[in-house]
Amino acid sequence: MLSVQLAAIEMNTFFAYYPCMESIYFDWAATAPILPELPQLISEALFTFQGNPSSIHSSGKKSKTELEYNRKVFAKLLETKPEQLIFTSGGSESNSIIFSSLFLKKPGSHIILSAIEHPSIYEFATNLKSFGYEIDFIKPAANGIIIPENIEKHLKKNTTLVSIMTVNNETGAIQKINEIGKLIRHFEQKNGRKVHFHTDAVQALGKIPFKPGLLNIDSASFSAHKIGGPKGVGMLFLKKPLNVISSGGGQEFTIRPGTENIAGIKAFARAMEISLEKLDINYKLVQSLKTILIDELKKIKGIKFLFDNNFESDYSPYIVNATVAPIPGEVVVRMLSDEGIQISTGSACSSRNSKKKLRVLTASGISEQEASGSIRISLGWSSTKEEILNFSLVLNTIISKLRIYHK
Amino acid sequence: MKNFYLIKIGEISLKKGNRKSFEKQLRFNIKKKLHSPSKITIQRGRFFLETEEEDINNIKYALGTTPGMVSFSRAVKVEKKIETIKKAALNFAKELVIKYPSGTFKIESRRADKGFSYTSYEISALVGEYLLEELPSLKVDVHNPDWIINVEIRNLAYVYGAQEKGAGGLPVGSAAKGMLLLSGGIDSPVAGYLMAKRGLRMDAIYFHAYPYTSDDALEKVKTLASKIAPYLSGLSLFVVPFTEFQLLLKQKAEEEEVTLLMRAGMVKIAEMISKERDGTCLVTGESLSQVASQTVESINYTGSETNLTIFRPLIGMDKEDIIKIATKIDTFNTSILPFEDCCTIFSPKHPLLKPDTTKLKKSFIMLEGEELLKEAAEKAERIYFRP
Repeated sequence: MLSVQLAAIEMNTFFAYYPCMESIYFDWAATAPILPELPQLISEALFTFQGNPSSIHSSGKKSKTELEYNRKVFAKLLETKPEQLIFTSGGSESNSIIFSSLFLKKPGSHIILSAIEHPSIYEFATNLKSFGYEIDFIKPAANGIIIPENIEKHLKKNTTLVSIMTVNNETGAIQKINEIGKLIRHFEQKNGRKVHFHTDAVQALGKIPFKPGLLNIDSASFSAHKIGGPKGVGMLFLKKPLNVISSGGGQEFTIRPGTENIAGIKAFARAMEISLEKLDINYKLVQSLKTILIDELKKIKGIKFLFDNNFESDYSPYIVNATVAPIPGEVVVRMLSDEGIQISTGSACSSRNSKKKLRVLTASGISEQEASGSIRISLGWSSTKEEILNFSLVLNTIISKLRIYHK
Repeated sequence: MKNFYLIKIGEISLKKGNRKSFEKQLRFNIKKKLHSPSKITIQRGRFFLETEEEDINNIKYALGTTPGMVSFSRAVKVEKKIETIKKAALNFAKELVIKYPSGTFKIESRRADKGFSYTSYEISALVGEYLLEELPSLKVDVHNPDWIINVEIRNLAYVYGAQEKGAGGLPVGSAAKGMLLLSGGIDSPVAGYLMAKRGLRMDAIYFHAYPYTSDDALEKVKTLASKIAPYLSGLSLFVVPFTEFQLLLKQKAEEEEVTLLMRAGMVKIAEMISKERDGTCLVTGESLSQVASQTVESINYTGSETNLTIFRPLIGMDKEDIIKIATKIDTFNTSILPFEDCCTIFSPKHPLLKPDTTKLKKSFIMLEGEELLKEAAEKAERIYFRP
């Protein structure tokens, strides 16, 4: 029925071609390119470990052994016990396991969230409201960082869950997870009742030092594809066993039933090894690139940074957020894309929904206009200075052209 | 031929002298949609379609989306003998019993050939009796039956099963040609559908403000075009690069006038392309006072910027009624996809509600945008959607 003769729509002369290089990828916070050695590793693992780890015959046992071996690899790297690590399909599922477990508890209890959580938490919690849960959303201070005492202030007798993300995916702000955890533990002792403290650590894993077993947290979510692993694999750190809502074949200590994705998990483990091995080197490299990037961006008229001190240690060097307001960020993102440069506005998970996409930034005290003009440049281990210089050049050209129309 | 259908035309039958041309158009439109060899004969206001097309769902879809018919039914042609007629009716009844397990029925007969030895009443009684014998679970209800089987005695006996509703109206192409302003919202596809039912052939035009509007928004409009294409008997969608004109407005126009001057630019481009395509009217999804640009004063102004008549079939309709039609033609769920264009940055916070046409016409001239509009019209990309 549909016959489409597609011809590329010729760009207006206004958007003339900017001399440009090969594709530049600055959207690592959305997903990282797969590590070069992994496709082969995955394809070999798909052949080698075909048995179902739950089967009691030899090929099943072979898969089970491989699965548990990888769990131990993670446990060693993250300094946890193996049984504290549950493989999942990704960060969102890990978050959802924690939040859905609330349905097995007394309804109507109290939850504390930061106002800048990922949609998989924020939207879930918002839905919990209609089930009678009471929710406090804690806004960060003007620098994008939550003041731990603000969480403490809101703890109540019936608080069952606190969830604060470790590194914000839009601003790069690093939250003081361990301090918040300490305050929660202190409150628990006083109150005589357990409060579950969860953190979405998807943007922290493999990028900043993060050892869940050593922190005052009860659970943490991770995703493989943010560190160069495959999509569809993630992990949940769970300090102590938890009653969960989904049931099935008892896999993953009954926390996450379903036949395990051995090849994906093996690739995730390898990505974890590589990223932790190179954590310091990469951190320093990206930090220096970020400094260059910020210096370059500062030279461009019409760019502002969301937080004045966006390059101090309170922020992940992997994420830079700036605003081109009153130019809409999405326009700049599309024009950059046409020049082979890939960056993002806000969070990639929700950037298609205009009403929701400004939530994180406006909660961080950014005006709506500045938030609509925000662009996120996220770097990775293979980013280069040359890329940053080229990117800045193109961005400058685009913005100086657009500024005529957006005053 | 594999399948046989009886098609009832509605409004066409009211036509007198030019009825033939309407019939010819309908015949053409139906055949255009069927990809297998098909033959359509017309007898006393009835269309008989014989087609090699095997897929009944395809035929149903083709007929159900073609304006100009009120209903259609799958039929069989049999010898003018009461026994063969009974057997043919039984075949349809068996299908209908599955659909309505404890349903009631009625036989309706017409005897166009008065030479046939039974009257209409007798035919109905005999066939009905036979069905009751063969399918004892059936019940007759002559007032409010769940289904009807029709028998018509003409040169042959025609027996046809359940009637499916047609789109109604007049065949596309029986009126002139127009240009539909398709935005991606709920209203404009419905406007196109309604005008198609009045026989208007249409092209559609979409104003793409890339990179201000996303390519997702364009994809959405293409999906909408493909969904209304069967009703419109196929259409060409013109995608006009509109960014430069919008930026000109942003630079030179008074903020409160931007929306209306933009609408003026749109009708002007639509007129330019339409004229090249032998179009003589424009069609929009405007509904009175729905938004600032749809007040009487605003409509007066935008209308004054083109020499073509603008048809606004939704002008007196409530949103709720529009949504009902959008749901029926399956455009609603596409229209509400959230690929909101960021046109909002071009639209003023407080647009004019009661513009002064003379003043706005001057403002438009002051823009000196005619060349830009011409260029945009020339650069428009045409995409054809089959019916």
